[in-house]
Amino acid sequence: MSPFNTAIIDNPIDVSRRLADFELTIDQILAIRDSARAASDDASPLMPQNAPGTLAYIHGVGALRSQIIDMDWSIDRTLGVEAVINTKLGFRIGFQNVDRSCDSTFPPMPRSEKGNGAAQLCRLPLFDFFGVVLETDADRVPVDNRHDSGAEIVTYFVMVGEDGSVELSCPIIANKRYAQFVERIFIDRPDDDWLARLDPETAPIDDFDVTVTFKN
Amino acid sequence: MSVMFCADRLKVARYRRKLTGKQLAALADLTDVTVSKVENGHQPDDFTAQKLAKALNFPIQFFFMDRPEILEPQAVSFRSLKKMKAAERNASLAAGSMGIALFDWINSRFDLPAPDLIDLSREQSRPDVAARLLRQHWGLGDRPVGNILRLFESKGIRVLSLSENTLNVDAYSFWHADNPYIFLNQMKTAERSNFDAAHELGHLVLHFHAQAESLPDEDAERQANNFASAFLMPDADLKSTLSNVYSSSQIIRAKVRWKVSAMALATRLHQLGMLSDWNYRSIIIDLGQRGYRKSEPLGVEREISTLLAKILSALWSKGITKNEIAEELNMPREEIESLLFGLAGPIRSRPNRSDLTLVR
Repeated sequence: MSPFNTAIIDNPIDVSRRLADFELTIDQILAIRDSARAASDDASPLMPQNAPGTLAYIHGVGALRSQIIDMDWSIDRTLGVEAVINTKLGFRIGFQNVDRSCDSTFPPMPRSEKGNGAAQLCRLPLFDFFGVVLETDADRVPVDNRHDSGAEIVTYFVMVGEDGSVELSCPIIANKRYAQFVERIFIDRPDDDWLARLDPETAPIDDFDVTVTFKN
Repeated sequence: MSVMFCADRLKVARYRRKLTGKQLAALADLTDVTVSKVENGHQPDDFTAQKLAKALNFPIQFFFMDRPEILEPQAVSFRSLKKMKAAERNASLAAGSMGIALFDWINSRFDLPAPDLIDLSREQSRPDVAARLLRQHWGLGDRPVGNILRLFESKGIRVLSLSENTLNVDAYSFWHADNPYIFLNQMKTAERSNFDAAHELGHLVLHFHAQAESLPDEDAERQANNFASAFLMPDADLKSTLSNVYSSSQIIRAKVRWKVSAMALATRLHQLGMLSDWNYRSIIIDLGQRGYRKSEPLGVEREISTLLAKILSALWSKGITKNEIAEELNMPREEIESLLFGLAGPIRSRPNRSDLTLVR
């Protein structure tokens, strides 16, 4: 049992304010989610079974970069984790498919095992909490692969659930999964029944919404 | 309400009644010259106007409204143009004007789904790619469409019924004031109607604003057919659910999934190389013998319009019936009936208010 609680930011006003610390907006994160979901929906039944997740990851990372990269944010591939980095603010943001986001009871589970690179990037804050001084990225990463210039970078992930829920969160990875979260920022959660969406659907689709409303 | 008699409205009404100028003159007990003059903008006296309205069985007020939206033949995708008589074509075009007027009236009272189509004219030579792109745009993946009309209406396509339910007039479609319209022939089997709807969708996105003009008719028709086939029956879905097809009974069992005719499914499978030439030929012959060339035994249920049913029941809940709509538009009631024919479904005896949200 961890001695500290996860900071959960759920109220839209607080979320906007917190995202401003990253110099980001809710719409940017939603656009990343939308790209990932559209790509996932586009998987054909003839493709490999992991196509929805793989396509979502590829397009999710692409959208993450196209949404965020500017004067201060740039592409980052430290330890093989495809991300964007802002050394001025001290943040790195990656993309992650998860089973479900924005559920305070059940934290997100990654849809794939987390590798060593991600694990190394997502350890530091925990030890910081206990005041333990550890090596930083600067000590671990080969010099030519270093953007951090010795500064400590905190790594967050845009986590997109299979139901389209999305959060921006800072996890701690241990044993190839998320052991704990330092912070979770809930961006958007759809109200649909996500359990129904877990199986890749092949049945005919007919739940189209035809909205008709009286004008004022 | 205009104080001027509108010559174009006289034409529209005459076309709807499939009358020549001469026939109208005889019916109205007027001279040919009088009718011709009025149609060319000459203001008739009250007595003449009344005679014309009575002969055409249109409310007199109809002729004293603003100029109607006139559809030009080249703006409309007509199939089997060669089979159509001029009177049928004109009647259909005039029905198009009526349909626009009806939807303008609806639109003035309701917020409707906005059109969400994409211009795929650059993919005219690859209708199958166009179908895939539109499916992607709509987030359908490769799944079959369970309710085609509902999908169309959710994407802002205005679906109406073709009044000229003769075998000579197929479905047709057009863009008007940035809104896509499709008129369906309700006399056909549900499967044919579904395919027609997808065929017209092909025209709307491939031959945007009737760019088909520059194409030979056969090309535009072939493109729209291939589009419909690929849109309704995505190859990935066919290949993942059907394999080793060799008999017509397999086709008849399977066609329900895509809501298409057995013939259309067989043709698509052949196109994709999932049926050999020889198998395809023998299946087509067999289907013909079982009556599948002209009709669709073991057919699917006809789809109805979700949008029109919702609108009618919402109006009904406020005490507005088709009669009132016809009166407000100064149209004969049967014109409204024929535009909605077979689309609106039965109106419930008690209006269901939960279908509608009141926007404050």
